[in-house]
Amino acid sequence: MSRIKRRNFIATLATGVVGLGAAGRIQAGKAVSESGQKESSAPKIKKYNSLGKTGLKVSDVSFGAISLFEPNVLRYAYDCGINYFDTAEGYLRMKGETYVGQGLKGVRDKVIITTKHPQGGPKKTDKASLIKRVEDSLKRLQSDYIDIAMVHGLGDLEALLKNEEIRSAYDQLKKDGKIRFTGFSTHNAKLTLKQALESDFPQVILFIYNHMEGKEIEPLVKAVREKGIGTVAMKIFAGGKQGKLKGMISKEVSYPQAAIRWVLSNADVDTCIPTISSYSHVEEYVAASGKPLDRAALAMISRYQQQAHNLYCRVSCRECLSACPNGVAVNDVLRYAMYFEDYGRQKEALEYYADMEPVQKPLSCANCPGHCEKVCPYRLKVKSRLLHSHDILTA
Amino acid sequence: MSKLARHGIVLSIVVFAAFSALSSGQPDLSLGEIFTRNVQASGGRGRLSQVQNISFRIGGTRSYASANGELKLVSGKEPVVTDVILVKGDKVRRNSFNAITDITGPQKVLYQTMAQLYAGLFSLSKFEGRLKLEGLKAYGPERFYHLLMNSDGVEVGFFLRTDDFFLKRLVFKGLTPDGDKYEVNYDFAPFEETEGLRIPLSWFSSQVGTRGTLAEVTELKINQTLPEDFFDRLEVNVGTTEASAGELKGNVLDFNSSPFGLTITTNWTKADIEKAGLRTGDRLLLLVEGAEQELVFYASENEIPPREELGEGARLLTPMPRGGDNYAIQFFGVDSAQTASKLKPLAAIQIKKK
Repeated sequence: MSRIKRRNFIATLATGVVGLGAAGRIQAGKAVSESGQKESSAPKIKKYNSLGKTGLKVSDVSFGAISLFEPNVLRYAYDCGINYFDTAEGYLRMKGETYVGQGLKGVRDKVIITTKHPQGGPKKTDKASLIKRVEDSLKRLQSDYIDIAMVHGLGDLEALLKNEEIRSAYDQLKKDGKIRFTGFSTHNAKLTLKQALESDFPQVILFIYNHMEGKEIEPLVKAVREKGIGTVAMKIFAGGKQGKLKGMISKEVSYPQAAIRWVLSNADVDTCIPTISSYSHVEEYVAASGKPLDRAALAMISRYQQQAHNLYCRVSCRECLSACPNGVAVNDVLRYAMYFEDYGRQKEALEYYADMEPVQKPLSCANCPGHCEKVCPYRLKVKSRLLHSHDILTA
Repeated sequence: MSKLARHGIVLSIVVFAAFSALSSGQPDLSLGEIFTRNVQASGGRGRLSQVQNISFRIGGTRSYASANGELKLVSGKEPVVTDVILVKGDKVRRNSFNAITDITGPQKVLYQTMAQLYAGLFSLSKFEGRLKLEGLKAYGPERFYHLLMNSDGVEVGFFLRTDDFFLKRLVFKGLTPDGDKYEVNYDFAPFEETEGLRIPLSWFSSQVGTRGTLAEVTELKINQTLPEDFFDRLEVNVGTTEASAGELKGNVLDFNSSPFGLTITTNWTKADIEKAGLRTGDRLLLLVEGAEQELVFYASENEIPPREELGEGARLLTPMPRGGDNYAIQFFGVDSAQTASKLKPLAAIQIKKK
């Protein structure tokens, strides 16, 4: 028997024994590729960018793991080419990092994981406590190291750097090889990006950047990028109100794809982290990778801007904060209401709101003439929205 | 190589191939075999045939599905029913606040498919003869059998786990009546044993272009005693209204009280308001559960003065603040706990022009 004939014979015999070969049956080698995946159906990341001067190359469309339904979605995203994954200590009620660890098990050395720890509020911030919190994150992530450890929700970098305990903890963690790079996420980019220009602490920054708010921080984004700091955009869907607006999906492009393409049209943005919850999100968002901001995408952005102009609170605007005589954290209250109503993250929104200091809540707004509304550049009905936010966040 | 040695190698390969195929989830099955395994996993035809109806709650909506493939979705704070969607025969109809419409296009296919899915306890049993086998689809390390059904121009993709044959994903693809892309995805959690059934207790659904929502099943019931005509009736329960010059009688549909005030959703619509001849600025007397309150009427949202002009303790009758055809009573900046404690869905309310 020749070599070829013998091989055919073995294959036929094998398939006969296990029941393969009947008409109308799936043959794994025929219907799927070697990896077991249909090659035509899965979109792939088209572009990878340098993440500042870290030496890391990241997919232009990355993974925001704040609202996951199951860990395997992360692995599917990896198979589609996403290699940058963003999570945080507190996401999914402390289960976010665990999901990321489970989902990326087996490909850990091929992906870049960012996690974030808030410094302040109810969390302990002494050196030993912070090191312990990062080590706990490592256990949940099933990893020996974190690629980028960020301070979560930083409002003022100078104040952070004055805290010797925190700086010392991050230095120690770097020295021990438990974290590779440091950075921060911020809702106050106008201040913190400026401060970042004078500091060596941030090697990567995560900030709000979308077509509704972002234009005014572009010079700062450019400056930090030129300094070699990696730039990651979040909240790129501008409030995620598309489900309530008209004309948000067309044959050419969906709103999320247009929003991703708008963000990535800025060459100073290394990557963006849309929240990915399901397989369909992976496919929809990855399909926007490497694509230019064309006429159809721009038209979609324009439709969103027209409809959401006085619905969306620009979180980084902060004009109302100084106008409020009672110190209400207007942008945070409205952001948590946005998580509740538009992001479908009701439970987390309730927890975030419960953690706020009473003075930051709109408890005395009912009797106020509404100074916030008078200074809002976007003419939002701030006062009634604050009262409504309190209602839903305490229901 | 000796004949014996060659036979040994062949046998080893055969055993290895057989073992590999089994351990990798038997990706080489026919449509019929996949269908049978799926139905068996849900308890088999015998078990499924014992289920005459199933109902469960997701958020504010209760779903009732019959073994015949009828489906009724009922929304509202019980006993109020503001919305009903009924799938029966070839029709999918909706009654929202007594406005009845036909649901058409891909949305109709979605409801019809969910009716069959629930009726078969999330198995393929009600789709027999309508499916074709597309192949295997990998999502990360997991592989799924991909089955396809075409229904009125909408492609419905079923993705089944290769290990336990349960449904993992359901994907609807088509075009909206406007010609836009329609794609709705359901990702089901692993099936769990509950009330003697094996079904998913949560799923994440999203329409492409939106964030999606997590559905969590509660209050699962099987074989409830339902009225014989339950799946024929489409009516809502929004109470009754009576309108005459300067006077309105009606019911509470919903209410929400907080330290900042009270909002009562009523069953009064624009037609009632017009019959009563109310005009913006009219002073009204509200009667609810024996208590009297004074209200000011505003016919449209644009006519409501800014909050600082209304002042502390304002009480208004206005269109629903967040849209909709109904009118709402609003108390601003008033501790309304006492009034709220007397309210319940369908409680009688009345207003008279002063």
